[in-house]
Order: sequence, then C-alpha cells, then structure tokens
Amino acid sequence: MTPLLSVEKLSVRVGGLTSAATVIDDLSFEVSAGEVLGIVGESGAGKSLTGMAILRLLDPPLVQAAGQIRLDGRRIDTLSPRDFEPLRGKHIAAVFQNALSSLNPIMTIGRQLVETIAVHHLLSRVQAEERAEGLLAEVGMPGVRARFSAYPHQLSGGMRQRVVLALAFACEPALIIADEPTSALDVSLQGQIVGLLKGMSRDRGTAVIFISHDIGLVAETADRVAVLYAGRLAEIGPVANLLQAPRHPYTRGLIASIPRMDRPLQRLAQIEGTMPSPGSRPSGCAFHPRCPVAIDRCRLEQPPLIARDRVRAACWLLDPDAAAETGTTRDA
Amino acid sequence: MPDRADIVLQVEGLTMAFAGAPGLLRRLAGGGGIPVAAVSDVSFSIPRGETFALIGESGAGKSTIARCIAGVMTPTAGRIAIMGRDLAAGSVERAVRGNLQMIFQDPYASLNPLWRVSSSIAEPLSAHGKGGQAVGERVAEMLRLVGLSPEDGRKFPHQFSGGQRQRISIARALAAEPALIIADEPTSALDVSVQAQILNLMRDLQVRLGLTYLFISHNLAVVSSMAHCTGVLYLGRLMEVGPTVHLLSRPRHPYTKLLVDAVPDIAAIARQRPSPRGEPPDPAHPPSGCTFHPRCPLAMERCRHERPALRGLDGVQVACHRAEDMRTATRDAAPPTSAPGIVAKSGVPAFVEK
Amino acid sequence: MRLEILKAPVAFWSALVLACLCIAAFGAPLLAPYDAFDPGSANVADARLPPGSHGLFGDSYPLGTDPQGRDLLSAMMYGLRTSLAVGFGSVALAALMGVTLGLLSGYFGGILDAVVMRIADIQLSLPPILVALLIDGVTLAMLDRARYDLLAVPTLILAISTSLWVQFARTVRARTQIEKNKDYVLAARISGVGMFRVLTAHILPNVGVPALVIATVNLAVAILVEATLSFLGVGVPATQPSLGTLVRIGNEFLFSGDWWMSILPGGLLVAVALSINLLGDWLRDRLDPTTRTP
Repeated sequence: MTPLLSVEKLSVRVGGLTSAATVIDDLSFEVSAGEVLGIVGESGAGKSLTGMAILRLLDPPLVQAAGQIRLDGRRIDTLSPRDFEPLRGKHIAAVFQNALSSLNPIMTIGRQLVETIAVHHLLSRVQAEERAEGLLAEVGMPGVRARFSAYPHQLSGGMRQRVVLALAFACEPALIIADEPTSALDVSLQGQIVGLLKGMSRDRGTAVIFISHDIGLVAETADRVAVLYAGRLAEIGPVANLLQAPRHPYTRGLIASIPRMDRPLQRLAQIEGTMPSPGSRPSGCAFHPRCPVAIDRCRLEQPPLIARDRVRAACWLLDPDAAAETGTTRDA
Repeated sequence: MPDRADIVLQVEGLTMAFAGAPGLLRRLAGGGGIPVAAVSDVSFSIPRGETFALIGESGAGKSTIARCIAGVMTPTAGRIAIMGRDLAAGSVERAVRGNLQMIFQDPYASLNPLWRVSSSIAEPLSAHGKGGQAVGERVAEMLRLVGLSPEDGRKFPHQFSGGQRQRISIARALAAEPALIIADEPTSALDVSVQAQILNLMRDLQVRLGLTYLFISHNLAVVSSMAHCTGVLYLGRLMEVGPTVHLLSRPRHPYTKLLVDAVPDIAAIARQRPSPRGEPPDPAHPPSGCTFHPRCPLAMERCRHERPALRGLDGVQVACHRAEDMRTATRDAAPPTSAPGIVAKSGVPAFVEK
Repeated sequence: MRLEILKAPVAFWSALVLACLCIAAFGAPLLAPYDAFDPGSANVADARLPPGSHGLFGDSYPLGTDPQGRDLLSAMMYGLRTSLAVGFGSVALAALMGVTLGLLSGYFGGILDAVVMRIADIQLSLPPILVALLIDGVTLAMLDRARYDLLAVPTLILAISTSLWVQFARTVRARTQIEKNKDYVLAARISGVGMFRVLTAHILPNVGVPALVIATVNLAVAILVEATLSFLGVGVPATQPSLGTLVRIGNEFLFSGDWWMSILPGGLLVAVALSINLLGDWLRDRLDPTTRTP
C-alpha cells in the first residue's frame, strides 16, 4: 500500500555568497494514512525545516537540493507555487507554535473559520457556520457562538491554539504538520492540546507529523518516532521500541539526560559537547565526537540505517561486520 | 530546626499588589515596563547549601518574587532577610551588595553583547572598585570552574552557544562569592542534553562550594532533580510547600497533583492522562475564595467563599480545605529511589549498554 | 569597514567627493586664491565677471565674481566651510541633547519622561525653519549688530539643533526602554553597578547605533536649513557669506544672464547634500541591520 507521504533522500541546503551548508542530509521516511509520526531532535537538528520542506515553505537562501517528496504517490516538491496552493489546507494543513501569528489579527475567529470552510468545501454560509460551530465545540472552546465575534488577541494562548487546531481540521486534510504546537503554552495546557490533536486526528483518520523537542509529549502522542541529529536521521521506529530500547547512542543519551521525577536529586546522564552546526559537521557519523562507544569506522564513514528489532538506526555498531572488524571501542 | 544563623534567605509575608488603574498623569507618561504579576503573603526560608524551588505556570508570580528578593522591585508588604540582614525597601545597590546574584532564563539577553566575556564575569567585582591582577585571576578561575577555558574570556558572547552562555552567566554569578544565587528558569531555553550539562554543573558547584540556590521553574521534572524543598505557586499564593520528594510522591494540594500529572513521561507510552479542566486564570480577575476552585476536581461550596490558609499536614504546608482527602484521592506513589541529600556521581554516562 | 567601502562604488565616490570638499572648505585659508571674508579683497570694479575672466588688475577669477567683486571660487570655499561647520555643529549638539534626554527619559520614565516627551511633541509640530527664525530673530533683537555677527554661527547652530534633537531623543528613548529590561542590565544592577555607569557603559553603547544613523541623515538637512536661513537673510551675516547667502545675492541677477553667481554655489550645495546622503545610506546599511535592503 503506498504510504500517504513519502520523503526520499531529501537534502536541504542553505546557500550564501561565501558559504553553503547542508542543513538536511539524505533524509528518508514515510507516513502512512492515519498514523502519527513524531520527529524529535534538538535545536538545529533540522526538524522544523523538514516540515517547511514538505509544505514548500523554504525561502531562499534555503533550497531543496535533492530528493523527492510524494503525497499519495504524486510528487509535490516539483510543483510550482501556484500548483501547490490548492494542496495547502485541503490536503496538507499546518499547526505552528505561535498561534497569534497563525491567525489573521484583524479578522474575528468566526469569520476566519467560516470563510476557510466555505471556500474549501463549497458550502453555503449557513452550512459553513454550522460546521464551524461544531469544530469549535469539538476543540473544547467554551461558549462557542459567543466566540465567533472574538478577535485573536482577545483570546488566551490556549484558546488561540484550539482555534488553530479547528482551522487545521476544518478542511479535512489528509496530513497535518504540527511544529511545536504546545511549546508556548503552560504545562497544564500542553496535555489538553496534544490530546485534542491526537483525538481529532484519530476520529478523522488524519495523519500527523508531530515535530517537537519534548520527547515525553511525543511519547504520549506518536505511533512512530524519528530522531534527527545534525540534519540526518539517527533512528526511526515504533514509539514503544524506540523509547524503551533505543539503538542509537544519541537517542539513548537524549533519553537518559531527561530529568525524571522518580529519581529526584540525582545527577543526570549527560552527553558531552554540543551538536555541530551545519557548516561544521565532522566526517563520518556526525555524532562520533560525542559518542562514548564510537569505533574507527564511525569517524571514516557515515553509517546507513540498519534495522534491528523493529527500529532502524544509523549506527555502525548495529552492523555485525563493522563491530567485529575493529575490536577497538572508545571506552565510555 | 535549622540554626537561625544558617538560614541564608528568609521571606515572610511577601506581597506585591497590582498597581491598579493608572492615574492620568502616569498614563500620559506612558509605560515601557514589564507587567507585574501579583504576589500575596509568600513565606519561605532557605538553609545554607540547599536548593529551594518555586514552581508555577505563567502569571504565578515567580519572577515577581525573584525581583523583589533581588531588590529590583519594591514589594508592597513583607520582610526579606539575607544572612539575617533585613532588605528594607530600598535600592538594589544598597541592599544586595555582594550578597546575591542571579542567573537568567534567556542566554541571549543575559550578557552585554558589546562586552568581552571576561568583563561581564568581572563586573560583580569591578562594580565595587576591585581591579587588576587579582580580578583577572579570579575570572580565569571562574571560567575553569564552569568548564570553559581562560582564553574564552577574550571572546564576545555571540561567539558562544546558548549552553556556553549560561555557563558564563554562572561564572559571573559566582565571581563575588554570593550568599544566595537566584536561578530564574536557567535551563528553560536550552536543549535537553545541554540542560543536563548545566543542571549537573550547578549541582556539582553546590556540593563543592556550599552554594545556596533559589530555583525558579515551571518544569516539575527539572525541579525534582535539583531542589530539596519546593513551593508551588498559583496566582501569587503558595498552595503547597515542603520537601520535593513529598510533593511529587504524595501531593496534598489538587494543583500540585495537576502539575505532577501534567509532566510528560517517557515511560508511560500512550498513557491516558487525567485531563485538567479549564484554563489558567486571568491574573487581573482572580476567582473568589480559593483561587484554584474553578479548576479543582475536589472543589466544594466552602472553597468558593473562604480562602484556605497554609497549614501543616503530613510534613508539608498546604493551603486546601480538602487536603486530607488528597490522601486517598491520590494513590501515594512508592517512595522514590534517592537518598536524601545530593548524590554526586562521577561523569560516566550511565546510558551506555554493552 | 574602511576597506569595505571600496566594494560599493557609489559610497566610495561619495566619500571621495566629500573628503575633497572638506579639505577645500577647512583648508580655505590656505588654498583659496583670495580671502573671501576680507572686504578688502573684493574689488567692486571687478563685479559680476563671468567665469574664467580676468580683472582690471590682472587678477584671475576662475569661477567669476559676485556682485561685490569677490572671487566666487574663494567665496564658495569659505562659504562651504561655514555651511559644513554649522551642519556638523548642529547635528553634534542635537545628538548630545537628544541622546542624553532620550536615555534619561527612557530609563527613568515617570514625570521626567512625560515632560520631555511633551516638549518634544510640541517641538515637532513647529517647522524647523520657523524655530530657527524665531531663535535667530530674538538673538538679533537682543544683541547689537557687531556682537551678533560674532555670535552668528553659534546662534545658528543652536537654532538648528533645537529642531533636530527630537528625533534622536525619541529613537534612543524607545530603545532604552527595551534595553533597560534586558537581563544583563539587571545583572549589572544586582552586582551593585551605579546608575550612571549602567547608563553609560551598558545601555548607551547598545542604543547608540541608531543615533549615528539619524546623524548622517540630518547632516544634509542641517546644511540645507542653514542655507535656507542665509538665503532668507537671517543666517550668517553678509560679510561672511555662506553658500546660501551667495545664492541669494546671485539670485537677483539670474535672469539678466549672470547665471554663475547663484547656480555655482547652489550646485555645490546639491553636491554636498547628495554625497552626504549617499554615504549615509551606505553607512546606515552597514550599521543597522534592520534597515538593510535584501
């Protein structure tokens, strides 16, 4: 069965007058209809850019240098901006971190919703209003009808994000890309919004790409998780397998460094050093300078994704030949 | 009871009321300041060498409290004493000379972008007229202490990453050997792996130098790894105060429980969390009685009219009429696996499996 | 940055032109063929001679003479000196006043801020020429002719800067209000750094760049205001003509065919203003990233 979205060998470069750098390198993954794929990584790993690339929102000096992006088998990365327009909203929708800038500040939320629905579904105004009401109720907005005449700045951050969710689902897209949808919200709201996203997408069979730096949130929401490091895919697999038995040393280190409430006042495991910036990636595996178990081959050659126990990780240690070949491991 | 001389920070009845509708003249004069969240009757103390955390969401008043203690804001009422000395309402300069330092949330705004790093680190010393060789050596020592090299002193902030800038801020905070360090969300703007480095650094320095921290955060997991005692703030009031392990494993206030439940847990894949009701309140129009009652699953009639006072229960201070019911409402979790006090492990990453 | 100017031809040539003009202007006592401010050097018999002519006594006048027999080239050089001095002086004074007031009102707010900003608002609603006229007129009325002539240039500087300081104050105030809440300022205060030092060592450097940008913009404005005032007859005294004065004097004869007496000084004014503006554009783009054109 063809996956809903397939990204193959995607490369994105940022070009400058004096220097160019690769910010996403050889990235490949798939999203099936109705599943939630979480993309996690730290700042600079390229997770937001991946979402931007799929949505064709890369502005110069960012440019897609290689690879293919297919939606329902059809290539979308080669479409002209005009041809891509009809896809945005109806087939692919987006939810961003800052709800205030996602909403038109001079239009009431009722009008934004109704117009979006009416345009995309060719409904009469009354029908569109009914649907808008239904959506607002579904996202848990109290006092629905009264909210129609509210302007975005009159709402709290949590309510704004609910409106953004309603707008995203209004056109019944096949895929929603949510880029850090809750990072600007208080902790008590994050769970609500994420729960809404998951529930509504389940009900409609919408696929979601959930981009976040918060692995815990992703753990609760996603079916599969992809871990990005320095623009490359480090590991990908079902959420349970990946988080409970990660295969890539970076994923392991990342998970171990998160403070846990059941281990109070204990020193956290830490990964030394910092993630390299796009212009200064080391040779071979980008993680090798920080990796406690790197071998010689890690320094020389970039590892491919190797499958092990339902996850795929880009690590030479999973290759039986490579690990046996050298006997040397840089000790922990 | 810890010895009084050993209490580094004592806060009693700290209150900061809203300014109210500004008068005509003040409105003509315009604003330009940051909005002030109200704080009511906050009291706590921190013994030497320990970390006290203030946790709350936006609008809870954490930054207001920090600024009042730092002497930057004048509270409407209350008493603040550092090392036993009262901070009477007054200027920053007089009150906190040499005794207090602060680490800030935004690593990109906490260092003067036009100053060399060594100048920024030396400022707590140079502000009191010290200079020369001794200061230069102290700066180099501080840089080494936080894991940077003395040569880094000659660089400018923009040449460093966010995590490194926080290290520089820590170096600056330590330069004048303050009695108290206020850490205002020091890792909220950092990636998880960098956060781990900074938290470990802060903890190691605390053990090594006997530092005392007031740690402000919205992240309960971070607080759990750093703080001996925690106070939970909601709309400017303390809801529960006590040893962190108690608050996490057997919260006696419904809001504490809400915060505990809201922490995303990697181990609980796809769990169904109890969904908290309602939205955070509008600080300008706080609810009557107990300010938490609109969102409280245990709210009753009394909560709407009568604000509960802080009282002792099961080893913590809690402001809730139904705190006793929390004993059964929460299945008290198994006691956590830590020894009291700080366990400083060596730098071996524990995550490697062979 | 000095080397980068070579990359932008417009800015480079503007800078070169401006440099030559400055040398000509401030080196006028050494370089000019005649001392234009010395009434004795003017020979009425040689009045209104076209460029390239020779006078009755063999003096050569490369750019001709003005109605009083002054060598136009020398008059222009001396006049340029006056124009530039007034221009730079008034911008400098305006910057000093504006930045200081902006810093103080932005940092302290309250009554000080209210008073300063209301004065600024009032100031802005008055056209610069009128303000300058007013100050100039008052001074003229208060002092006798001789002392007025002595104080003419400083009075002009004061008059022009009075209308220019507001821009500086407003911009610096806005940026100060933002900057004062930044954490590093707070850190300095907590460390016990005194107010004055916080303002000068921390805030001023970080809010000062836009002031530089405004200064370059207003330099040409100041020069042209002075020229206008002199053209109107209320600027510098006629015995020490500036470019504006020369334009005025020569204007009367424009339609009788003696074009050089007003066109040449006018052209020089345009050249000065243009090169300052072009150089200022380049400087602005270099210093203030927010106004950079893509």
